[in-house]
Amino acid sequence: MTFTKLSDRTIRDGLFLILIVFSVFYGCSSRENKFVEDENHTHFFLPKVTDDISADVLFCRKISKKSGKPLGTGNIFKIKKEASLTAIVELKNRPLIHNTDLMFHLDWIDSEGKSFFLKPIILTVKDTSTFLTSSISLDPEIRSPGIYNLRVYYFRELIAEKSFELINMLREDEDDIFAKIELGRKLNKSTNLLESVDSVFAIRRKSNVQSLITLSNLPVWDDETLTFSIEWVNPEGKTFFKKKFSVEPKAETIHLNSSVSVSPEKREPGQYQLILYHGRKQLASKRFSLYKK
Amino acid sequence: MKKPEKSVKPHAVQNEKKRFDFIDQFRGFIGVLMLLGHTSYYFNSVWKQLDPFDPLFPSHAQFLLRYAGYLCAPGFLMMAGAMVWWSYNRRISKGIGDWQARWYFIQRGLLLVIIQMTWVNSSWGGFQTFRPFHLGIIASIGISMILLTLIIRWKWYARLGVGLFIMLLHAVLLDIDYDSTVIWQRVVMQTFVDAGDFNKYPVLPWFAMAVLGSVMANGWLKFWETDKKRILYGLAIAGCAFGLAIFIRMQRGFGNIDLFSDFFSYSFLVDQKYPPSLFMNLWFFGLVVLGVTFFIAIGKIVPKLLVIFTIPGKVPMFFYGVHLAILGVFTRLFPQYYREGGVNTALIGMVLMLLVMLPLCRWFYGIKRRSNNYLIQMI
Repeated sequence: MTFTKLSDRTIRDGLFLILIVFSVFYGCSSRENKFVEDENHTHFFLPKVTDDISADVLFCRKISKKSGKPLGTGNIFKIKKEASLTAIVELKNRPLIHNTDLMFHLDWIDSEGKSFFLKPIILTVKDTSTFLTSSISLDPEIRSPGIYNLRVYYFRELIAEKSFELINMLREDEDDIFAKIELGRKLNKSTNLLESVDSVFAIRRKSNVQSLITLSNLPVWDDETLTFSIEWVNPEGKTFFKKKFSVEPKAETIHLNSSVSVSPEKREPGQYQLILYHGRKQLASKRFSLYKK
Repeated sequence: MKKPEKSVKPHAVQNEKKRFDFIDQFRGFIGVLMLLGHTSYYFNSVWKQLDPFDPLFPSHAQFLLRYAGYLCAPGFLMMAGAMVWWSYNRRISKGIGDWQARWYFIQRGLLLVIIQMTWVNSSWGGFQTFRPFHLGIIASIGISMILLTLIIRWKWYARLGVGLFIMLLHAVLLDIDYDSTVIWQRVVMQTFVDAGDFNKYPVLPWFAMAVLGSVMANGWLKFWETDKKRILYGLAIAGCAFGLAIFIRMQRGFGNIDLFSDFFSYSFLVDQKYPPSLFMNLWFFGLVVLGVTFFIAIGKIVPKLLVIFTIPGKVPMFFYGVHLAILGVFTRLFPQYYREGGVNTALIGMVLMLLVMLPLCRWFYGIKRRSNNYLIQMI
């Protein structure tokens, strides 16, 4: 073949050129080497091409079923039974890239630097999503306190990283809703205070037992409606009156009230009980006695 | 039965040492790259996150470090294929019978499988556990060696056809759906086709590499009698392989497994390795041929630059088995160093290991040359 007649110098220069080309272009990175931190504390590696995809990460306790908004956002989360943490990755410039499938990986890294959950995501051409999500459990059996990380990879290249902290709860019930039940004869609506507070009441004509329930430590970050119910239970253990409440947790403390008649034709003497439920879970109860005068 | 290829010319015999130098040196270079990959595996904290089946790269340095190791398996398989072809024909030219010549490679292949199941599998964890029922790269080389004896006498173009056909066939077989929880399915599929816990290096694609290595040996060691020809034909073949690989990759269809973004990006170069896609096989075939070509060229211009690779390249199995054992035992004894460093730690680890391994390899090579012991000759 004629190319075997090339001079040694030409061959040497050619090999040198190949070496240079391979060294310079092999495995081109599409990102800058140093990260930039945005106001959301996400570290992201700027694309060399300005309209390439970049990502912003937001952590939240959950995504509202009602509004679709992230609820309980932050960077510090409590390790808690049945709790979870969701990362929402906003893809910037996603609409500009619409002619090819896109490959992402969301890699959750624990406090020892080990990857504990890798979620690969392919956005097909038809999928125009501009957000990626991934959730992890915060159950104390599988998580321990420390600084964790979420890394976002785009076509195998790190494009964003954000850390968050997991902490232990000081008390196991510190995130629970607290309920205080008080019983009395009458509720003063202007002061929201009970009058004649007691746990023993006489059965009398046109007389009531009034309850006032104070709920505190409500999850104000949550925009979903909380449902409570109050059940009045007679000495035989049967519910003779039930009242439901739907509450939007806009303040940490709210009051519920309910009353029942204790006239002689409706009630017998004995031990009664008022039970408060949150959903199906019993939150609190209060016993009281009725007697004939 | 066909006659074996008349392969060894007097000229080749005279230049046997010279001809072997670039093969030995390239194999030694591959060994050093593998050592770098293993020091990274043991000392580089990126391995706390890196899934070799689905690799992600937090930096360019980590990408280069990981990708350097990708050359090792195709390099070893091709060199093994080349040396099987060369040794077989040399034995035949010495008057050794056909079956006896093949039997030597069958024994050697079986020994490699046994070494994988015993020494290699145990050395990864510093000999803490014995896990014989697991295959890997050494077993894959061994089985490929055995299979290669079946076609070693075929003409180069017939072997080329077999190699390319198996690569294509493997790309088709990858679509086979199987239940990896059923032992026999896992063993059969992961021995030959797919990769998983049982075996990351299935035989079919790597055997194809060994076959192509044996084909290249025809050129390197027989047909191309001058270094100039070896360099030019090597460049042409590597160029064709790269061209075909790029064509397949850019089609984004058959022969590809993972998506990629842009030409020559990380994702372009890193298609699936375990097991390799057709693109990866062709690409790395091209890279190995290009690498050997460069070694021939460098050997002509600055031969001293490659001397360091000669000794490990002459005793590759010893180099592999011993460095892995040292790393495994060291990190078991000093767990504080296990995956706590970065790229620089991996590089320092490689240099220190070379300071240990080079004298050991030289010592063992001396023993191997003098010894008539069957096992030592085989290693």
